[in-house]
Amino acid sequence: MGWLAAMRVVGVLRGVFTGAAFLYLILPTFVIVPLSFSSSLYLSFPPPGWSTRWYVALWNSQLYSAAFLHSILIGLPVALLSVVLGTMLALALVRGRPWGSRGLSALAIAPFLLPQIILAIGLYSILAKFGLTASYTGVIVGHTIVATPLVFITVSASLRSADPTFEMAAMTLGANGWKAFWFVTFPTIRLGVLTGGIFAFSFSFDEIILALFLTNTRTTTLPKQLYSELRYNMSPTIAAASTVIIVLSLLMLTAAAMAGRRAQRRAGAGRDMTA
Amino acid sequence: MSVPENAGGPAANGAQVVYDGVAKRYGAVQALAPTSLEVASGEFFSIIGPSGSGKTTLLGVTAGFIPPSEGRILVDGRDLVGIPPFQRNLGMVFQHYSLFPHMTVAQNIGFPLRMRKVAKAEAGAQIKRILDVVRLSGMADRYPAQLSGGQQQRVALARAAVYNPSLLLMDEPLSALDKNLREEMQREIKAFQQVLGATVIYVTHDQHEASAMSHRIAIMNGGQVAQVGRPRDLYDNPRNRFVASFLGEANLFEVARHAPAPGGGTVIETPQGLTLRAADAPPDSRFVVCVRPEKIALKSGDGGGAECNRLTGTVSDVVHSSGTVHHRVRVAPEVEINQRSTGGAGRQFEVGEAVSVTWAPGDTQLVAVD
Repeated sequence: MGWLAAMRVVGVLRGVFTGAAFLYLILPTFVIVPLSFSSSLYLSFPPPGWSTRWYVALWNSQLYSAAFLHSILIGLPVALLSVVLGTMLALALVRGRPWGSRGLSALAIAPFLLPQIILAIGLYSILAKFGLTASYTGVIVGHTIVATPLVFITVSASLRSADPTFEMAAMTLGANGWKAFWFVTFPTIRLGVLTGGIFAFSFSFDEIILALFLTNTRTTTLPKQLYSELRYNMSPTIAAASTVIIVLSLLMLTAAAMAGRRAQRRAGAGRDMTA
Repeated sequence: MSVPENAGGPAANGAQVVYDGVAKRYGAVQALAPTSLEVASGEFFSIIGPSGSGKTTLLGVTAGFIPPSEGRILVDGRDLVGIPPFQRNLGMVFQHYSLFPHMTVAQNIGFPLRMRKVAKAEAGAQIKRILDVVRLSGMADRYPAQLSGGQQQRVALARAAVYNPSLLLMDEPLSALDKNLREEMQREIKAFQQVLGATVIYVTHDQHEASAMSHRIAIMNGGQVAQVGRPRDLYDNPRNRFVASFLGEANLFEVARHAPAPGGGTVIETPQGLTLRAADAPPDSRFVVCVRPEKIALKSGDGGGAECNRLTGTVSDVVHSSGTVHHRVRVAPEVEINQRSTGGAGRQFEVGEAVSVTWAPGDTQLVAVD
């Protein structure tokens, strides 16, 4: 076999492998989508026929609308709190570089890596003491603990790619610490902050373990609602709700990616002109 | 740089800077030994030294990023110690310019004016004026990433100077530029300083740059100032071995024995058995012999008079670069001498050729070890 033919085979194999990997990663999530358009009364594959009735049912369901609202009311404060905490943490550890900042950085992402069931059990016993187990506060506190590392990671990355002398320059030019942050540091890490916030919201929006422990019927989130529906009836409404969640999550991730591309294009345009 | 007479506004009077026993310790480590220096108003003062010599610490202490362990820094009589960086009202140019990437050229330059709450119209006029000085008038709306290295450098200069600080600090501002641009920017920075009238404290590890630009230079080593002086004085009269070897090229010889010469001066014998003659009397402490490469002449065979220093050897290396010829001559098994001649003075020798290495006793520097 000639060299060119061999290269062509390798190219095809690489394409096939990439495609297979993508299918493996994405397909299981999207299996739910055709089920949501099923005409059947039950979740079964393949659907016997097609209809949009389950979207109508979802729209009319008070339980689902309430759960959707709860998820937003929990997700937004979680995103906000994580952004504030995660950004401060990143500033302290990346720019402040205190003694042992490496160890502290590992510690800062630990809540995201540690089993959430353990956090849920521990948090439940503490929050129970204060009567917060069935309030927004409880689940917001829980989600913020896990989501803060996400913001810490994205903001740390932004800070590391920015020149560490920016703040020093701002100060020699007459900006105090707060002004240096607001006019110079924040604009340069804005993308990391935004991405981190979107990640934090997405995390909170589809989190179930903490939600099972820390919400009650008045604060049930969308994933918890899906979970309890599954136990009582296997209606395709579940598939419809899941599809809505998928679409929303994809929209948020697209927003994050587009923000990243825009920032990259600005830096890239400059690089071309200096060449 | 084409500079209108009154460009950049009224030239500020350069600040007089006095370091009075300024020192910095980190635990047991002495980053900066107690240092006392005086920088005159309007002076271009360079601080050079290898990395870890304390030059960056001295600059950081001046800018206010590093609190000194002791000492005072008087700028026109006002002690800066304890004053935060943003209230020191000095300008600083950073190694990688540190231009804010999300701001245009005009916004970058306008930043210090904004922090000082200068009225918009007035700020606009000042930005325009300083852009003229640095020849970037058409670039006001560009972003830093759209500029070349030299242009970014000029924006950084303009930003540090637009509010007429009486003291400008520069931290290796040219190290990120390529060689040709660096020489052009050296001239621009000097011209820029003359327009502003500001005192400049300039940190670099490049001794050529410092010699070309400065009124005076402080050479630092191991957290201490080794010597302060005009570039020529430091070169001709180095106080110790470090200064002699750091500033310019130097042929250094250890001393095994020395004795007064019959007609005045000193005769020195090196450990390798070479005999050298100096016009000066030896210093009181241990010393080494330093001969600058350009003071040396090469002659074929056994040429050269008896009153001269004369060593014989073979040429081991020849390098020709832009009008200068560098010869390396092996005069003893372990000893090679660097010789340099510029502008066609002296002929070029071939590798392997037998030559005499000669120089006048007056060009033999006797330099204290420390």
